[in-house]
Amino acid sequence: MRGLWRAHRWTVASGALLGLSGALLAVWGNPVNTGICISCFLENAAGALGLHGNPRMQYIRPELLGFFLGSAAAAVLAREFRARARGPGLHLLGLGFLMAVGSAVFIGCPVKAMLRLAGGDLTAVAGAVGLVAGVRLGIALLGRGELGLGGPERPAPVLVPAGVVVAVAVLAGLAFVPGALIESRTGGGAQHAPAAVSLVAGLVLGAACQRTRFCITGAVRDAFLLRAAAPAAAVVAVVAAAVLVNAFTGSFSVGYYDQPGAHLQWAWSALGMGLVGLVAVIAGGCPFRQIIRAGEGDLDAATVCVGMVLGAALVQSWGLGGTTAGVPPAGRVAVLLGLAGVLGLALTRKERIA
Amino acid sequence: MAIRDRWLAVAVAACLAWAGVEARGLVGARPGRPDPCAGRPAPAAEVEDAFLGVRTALAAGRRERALFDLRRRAEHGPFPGYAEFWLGELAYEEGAYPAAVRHYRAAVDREPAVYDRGAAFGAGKVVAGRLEALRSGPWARNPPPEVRDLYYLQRRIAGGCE
Repeated sequence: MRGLWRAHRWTVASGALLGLSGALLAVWGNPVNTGICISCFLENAAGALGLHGNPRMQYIRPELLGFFLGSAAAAVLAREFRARARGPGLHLLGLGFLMAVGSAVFIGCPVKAMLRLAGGDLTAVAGAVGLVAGVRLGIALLGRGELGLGGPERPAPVLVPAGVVVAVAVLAGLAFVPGALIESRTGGGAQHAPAAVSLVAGLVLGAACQRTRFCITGAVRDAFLLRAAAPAAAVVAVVAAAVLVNAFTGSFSVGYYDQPGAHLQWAWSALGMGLVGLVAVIAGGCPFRQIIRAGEGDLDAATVCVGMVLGAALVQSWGLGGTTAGVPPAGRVAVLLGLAGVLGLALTRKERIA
Repeated sequence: MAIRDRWLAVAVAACLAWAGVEARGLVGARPGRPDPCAGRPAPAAEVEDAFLGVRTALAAGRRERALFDLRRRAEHGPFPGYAEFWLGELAYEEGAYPAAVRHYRAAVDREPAVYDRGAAFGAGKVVAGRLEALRSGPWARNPPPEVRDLYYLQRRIAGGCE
């Protein structure tokens, strides 16, 4: 058991770094409780690229690009950058889309769920419970065979992920050129930490989490599979580090009704995050982990990321996401159809490995 | 432990049936696509100039005149959200708290940027103060149904991602 804790000590450290950075980025200008949120950042990025027309959600977040580039740099330095692919592209695109929809209904990805909890947001408890339940369901469904990544891993031309790295690097450069991309003048998109600080935080976190394989849903999955608390300690570290920063900066406020970027429809919070947990187990990682894996040259993860960008754009254009007023009917239908789709996919798999 | 086919089939059917029930809410719902102009903030100085007449009338004690002008603006614009904010202010001063909260809510529904940082009249700060005073004062016990709008406004003004 001691060996298990030792094996996870660096993952726990990177979880603490993530929590620390997430809370500090909110202090430095990012929206409250949203220092780091992959789904919100992707919605901002989709807006900045003109993929949706919500003028309050348009900004290319340097953190997002930093996660990817930091991961790529760490992977290259550690000689782990390998162009590889397994699954059918359309399938992975759909999984990414569903992760974006589930996160938007909850108003945040799994990382933000932890940061919301660390800010004292009691509405996030339902999301956290839903996430754990979704991961558990995902493990049970994996017992029926591979649902997302069929076939053996095969090498891919290295030029493809290398091209993606160059494209993201160019985008990171454009983030520093005023007027090069669409930028919100008000709302959540207009609230951001200084771009250089955001980029450096993203690069450091991307590199650290590539080395340690940190993943919120992966940690929960491993805790279930190994029947041990050690893997989940990384998630606890995210919350603990963020709570400490929030307590020192006066950003910790326990409450249910008046929390920023939250709604009171706890059942939909749980279902939205449940969908994210379920899909994350099938796709091999939470939204944050997908970006890190894409940086390592994993084309499956890159396809999931493209699906998440597409989902983020449609969440805004079709009004699928939750807001402080609640979850719109379109978002509810999308989550339920997503759950039905994933469960239906499992039903078609007869192969059983457990 | 793998899940049995029959339970999966039941779960799929339940999700589809529930989605069918929820889809009824889509009929006649507002289109999800946000109004591209709704979130764009008007320059604070421009808004404050537009309401100069109303504020002058209020300062001179011509309340009815101000109310007439605000109601007209709330209906036809320009800046209907800010007109709702001022109607809320007048209702609050009269002690008509439920009506005030309804107007404050209508303000942000009409113009999403009305309570943002840097918006005209410092409306966000003003309303946040009013809501907190209501919540800890007159509405601390037996709050009316409008308390839901109060909570919504508090979450909205607190910021966060949208």
